[in-house]
Amino acid sequence: MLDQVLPEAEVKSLETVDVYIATIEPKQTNQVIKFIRSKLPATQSLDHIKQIRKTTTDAGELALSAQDLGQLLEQAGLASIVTPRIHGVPKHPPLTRAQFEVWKAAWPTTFREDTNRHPEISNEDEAAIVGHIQSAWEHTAEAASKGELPIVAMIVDPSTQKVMATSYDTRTSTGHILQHAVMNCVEAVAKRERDGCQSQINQHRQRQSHTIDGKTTTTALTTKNGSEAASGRESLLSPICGEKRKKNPVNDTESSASSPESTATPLLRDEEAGDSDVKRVKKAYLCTGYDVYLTHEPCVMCSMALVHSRVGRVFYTVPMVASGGLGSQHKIHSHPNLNHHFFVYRQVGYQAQQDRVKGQCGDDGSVDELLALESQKIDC
Amino acid sequence: MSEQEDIIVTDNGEETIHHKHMKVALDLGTRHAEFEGIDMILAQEEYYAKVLESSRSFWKDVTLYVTIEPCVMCASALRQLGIGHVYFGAGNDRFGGNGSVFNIHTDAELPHSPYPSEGGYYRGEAIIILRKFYVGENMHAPEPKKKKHRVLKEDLP
Repeated sequence: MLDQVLPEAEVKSLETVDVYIATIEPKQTNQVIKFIRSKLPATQSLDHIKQIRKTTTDAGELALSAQDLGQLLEQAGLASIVTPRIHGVPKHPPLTRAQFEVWKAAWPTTFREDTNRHPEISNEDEAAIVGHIQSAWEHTAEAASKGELPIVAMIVDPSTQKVMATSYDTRTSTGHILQHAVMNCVEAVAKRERDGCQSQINQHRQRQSHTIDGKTTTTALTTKNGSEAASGRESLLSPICGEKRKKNPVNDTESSASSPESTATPLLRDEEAGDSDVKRVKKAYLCTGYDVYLTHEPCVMCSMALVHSRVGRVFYTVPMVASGGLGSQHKIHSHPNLNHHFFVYRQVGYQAQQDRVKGQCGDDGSVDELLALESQKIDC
Repeated sequence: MSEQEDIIVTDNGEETIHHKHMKVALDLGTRHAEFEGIDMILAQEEYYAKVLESSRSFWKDVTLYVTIEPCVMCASALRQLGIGHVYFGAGNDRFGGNGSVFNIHTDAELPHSPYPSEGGYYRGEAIIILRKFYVGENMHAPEPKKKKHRVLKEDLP
């Protein structure tokens, strides 16, 4: 079971807003509702609130909107049966079952569970995820051996489980303190796209010059090629949100998820794109829908870079309490004002890393080593 | 700038820095003007040497002037560098990290020191510059929006 970092709106506790309520006899319900609908202003942004709460004594209670009620009730001849009082009802619609269960005690609300908010991760998918995060950790040794901070990012296309790029932090060697693993990795994916695009252009040009020698008209071939590209674009169009790529089952035998080692790429180098890949590579827009594996929770800069890159899901192992932008200090992946949201899971593979460190240095150093960067408040 | 224009540029074998940057900018959502500026500074030997000597003391004397409020990513980058001061034109209510959506520059919890940042300078001009850019089309988008009928609005909110 992966620990999803939920948007703030999904974990916030009950907030109430005061409204007038009144206890009435069931047979008076229609009369009172008619009065509310015709004489009282509509309640603002409380569509989730049920109008009537049944009480144990078999009488109903009505949520009324707050206004100058007394006079209106007099005029409607209801003053004798409706005695309004103030009561707090949930201000926001509940987004999770947990919130619903607690909030409904304050006043009944409507609730429809939105499964898109908490996508189920199959056992197969989870095994692939654990394999990839493990693979990311294996690359930390290489980073450390070059004197870099042991922070690794890996970007994977979840529809094929293919690793698009793996990068580590290079701020130490370059003296450029913003060259974090995530920044390097999204750049590596973009470079891969460009190179794929470039080799396609070269092929195109080669074929074109060939044709000119053969005295075929250039325009005809260009059109043919153009339409090929266009049909390719249609069938391989990048999905707009991360969801769609995930729908493809994980059954690519060539790069099976069960053996992440076989798909791991050399650091800071693009995976070699075979000829057959070229067209597909060109179609991706930024990192749309890709999965991102991180040894550490990214800093605010890197978190926002992932928003700009339109990634679909992020998995990280070590939460960075002081600097993290995906759950610790901020939740940049789910801020309502930002134009792209993605799913985040934390402490993925944490136990495995703890066990690994324990195996290496004995019980004492285990947690300390894993949290070394965290305690130094490093931005990852 | 469209994909086709990219091809023409590389065909001539003369990729100017400007074109290259445009191309990179469209392929990669993270090459914002702030990063271009930072990298241009670091590309100069004299400054790079100072940065290697002491990054913090170098950047504290640097002031950024930018037409649009830095986004959350850039706001954090500037804080990590230890920028001296930021002045911007128009606020950015969709991405802004210096007051519009997040307050990365003044956040009391994050590592590194906060930095002073003020906006609103030449705001109108800044908005028009950005609108002129968006009247163009981004052919790299998954479903490029047709903007043939889009005209430059000149009224300001």
